[in-house]
Amino acid sequence: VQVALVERARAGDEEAFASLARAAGDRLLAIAYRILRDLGLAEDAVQQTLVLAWRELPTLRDADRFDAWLRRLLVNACYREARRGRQWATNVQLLSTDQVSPTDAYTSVAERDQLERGFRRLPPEQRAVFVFHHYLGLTLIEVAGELGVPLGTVKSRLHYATNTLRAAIEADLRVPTNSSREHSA
Amino acid sequence: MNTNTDFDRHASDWLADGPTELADRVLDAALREVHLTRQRRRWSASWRNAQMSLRLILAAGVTVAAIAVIAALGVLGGGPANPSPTPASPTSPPSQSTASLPASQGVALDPASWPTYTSAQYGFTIGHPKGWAERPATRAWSFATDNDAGAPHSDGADHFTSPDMTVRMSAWSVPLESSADLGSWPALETWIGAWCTQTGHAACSEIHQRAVPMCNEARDCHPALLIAFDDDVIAFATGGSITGVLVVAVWRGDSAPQTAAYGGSRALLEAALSTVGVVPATIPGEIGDAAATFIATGK
Repeated sequence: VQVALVERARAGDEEAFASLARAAGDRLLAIAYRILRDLGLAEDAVQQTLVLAWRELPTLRDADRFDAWLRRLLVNACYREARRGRQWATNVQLLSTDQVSPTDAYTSVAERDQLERGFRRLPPEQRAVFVFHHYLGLTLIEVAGELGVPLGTVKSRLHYATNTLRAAIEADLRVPTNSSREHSA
Repeated sequence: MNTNTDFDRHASDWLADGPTELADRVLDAALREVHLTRQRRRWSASWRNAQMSLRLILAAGVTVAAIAVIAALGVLGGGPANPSPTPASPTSPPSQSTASLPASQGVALDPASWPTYTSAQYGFTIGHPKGWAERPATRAWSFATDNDAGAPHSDGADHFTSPDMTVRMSAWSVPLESSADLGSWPALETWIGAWCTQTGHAACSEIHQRAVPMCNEARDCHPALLIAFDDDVIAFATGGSITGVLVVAVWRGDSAPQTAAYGGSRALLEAALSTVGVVPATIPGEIGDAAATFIATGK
């Protein structure tokens, strides 16, 4: 069904494109938000992606590749949004303690906050690789194909991203708490 | 974080949090934009490549010919041992219409080199930056059908969209009643106030404070005004060869980051206006004095 819609949209059918956009919109927003960590920027990136997709659709050779092609447009839109000069850290979320599981070290408020802060320090190219691998669940070879970069580049970006996030969490763990200072005193 | 597996699992858990639904307003806005956007033609990419190949072939041919001429001159004449300096080619002073307008950063505003567009609906010819997409008006603009804060998405306006889709400029004509007399800046300002209210524009209360007097056709200085609203910058010009009121709008506020590369929305709009013969009323003498009086007193 989707291939037929893509073909119709490619021929200029706006209704067919609207159907494709409605079907893809949620997925695109989810990815864009996870790369940009800002809902406003993510919405702008999705809007740009959809308009650009419509304009460039006649150049898409293989209708079966529509989803992957759309994701690549989205990532490029995210890069543009990230570099447009707006502050990335304007929309820091307050994490609800209701969601915290005491048995899970990583879901503590402090550690989730450290992940957030660490992630915001990553350049957008590393964020995209991290999100495609850990959120979309793509293999590194698949990530390389989707983003159009060599496998070695994907590995490198993921390596740096992971190290940065690990370092952010470990730095937080090294900060002495009041109780530990009291024990050592 | 003792193992890679732990880290991967927790990274995935952390990423799972967050919005997963696109707001309807975003989708609607995108589809409105789609409606105004032409699709790239299938042949355009191959045509670009063909043009590139042609250019390369021509460049190579010119280079070969130049080398042949130089070699022939060297063989036949021996060439001067100390060639005299090449005289500087005469340069003509830049005229007002070809002067580049300053841009604070990014894209240089050189409206003289812009492609021009002639409106089939209204007849005016206007320039826009290179690479912008054109979408022609398909009907006439009217107050009855275009009461959505002017015409950002109206089929009654010619639209020009930047390559990255973040900036749109529109131009259209508003018909005037035969009895209307807009032969002065105050009269045009009053008309703009009525237009603003009638179209439901957001900021109609400070038009005079925002108005910049301009001249349509510098020699005769038919009145034109540029209004920098908060969310868009719009110019209105009348008289001379213009039928009705020509409206040209950049649908971004002057300080919007999307137009920063053009020196701001106002600079972009002024550059476009210069291609239709509308220039700032900063001409020394009577016109400049009248503009200063208008700014100070509104008369």
